[in-house]
Amino acid sequence: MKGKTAAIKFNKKIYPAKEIQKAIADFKQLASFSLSENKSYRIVKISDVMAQEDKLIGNEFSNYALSLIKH
Amino acid sequence: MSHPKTKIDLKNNEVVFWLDSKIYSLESIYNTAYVFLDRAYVFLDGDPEKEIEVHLKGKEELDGKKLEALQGEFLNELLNFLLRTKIAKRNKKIREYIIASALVSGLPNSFVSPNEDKETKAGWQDDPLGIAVPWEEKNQKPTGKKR
Repeated sequence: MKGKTAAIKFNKKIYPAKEIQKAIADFKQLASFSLSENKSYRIVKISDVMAQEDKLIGNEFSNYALSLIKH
Repeated sequence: MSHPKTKIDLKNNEVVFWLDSKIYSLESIYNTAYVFLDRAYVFLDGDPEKEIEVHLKGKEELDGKKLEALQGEFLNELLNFLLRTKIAKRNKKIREYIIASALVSGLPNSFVSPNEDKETKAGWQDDPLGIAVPWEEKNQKPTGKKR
């Protein structure tokens, strides 16, 4: 993903902003993140991935954000 | 009998299915997803008031049958969670009662009421009501004579 940018769209009704922001803060050493939003989605753009397994970071990020949601 | 709509995407190593929110609450789906985080990448989308879209992407490469099995396990776990929640709601009062009883029995003596304290301290030889005193002793009239 080096040089490339991947975008993940998180549904606002499912993923609260607080958890997305926390996930970004916890992953910030692994890549660059930017957060924007439209009417229904929070959009996380991931670029400059440091890790070798760059394809996984989007999936791992999504899993982590989901795990942060309080049950 | 209605099955959830399912789409198996071998190229992306994922199975996508849709769950009716009237049957499966978002809360129950969160909890089930949590169980699967170590085995699959879970992504949720859709409308929590109508239909929730669940994406399960295998962490290892999975064929069609295994992806289908992964979905089946997810649905089983979902039902398991719903049942546990239902039982927990039904047993809430009795659980509270058991915990309260356990807490009260574990209280130190200083927390027990003064009357209760006396009762518990009274030994089997004590006679606070004077039941063991003979009738004659109790009703003996003072003679008034001094020896």
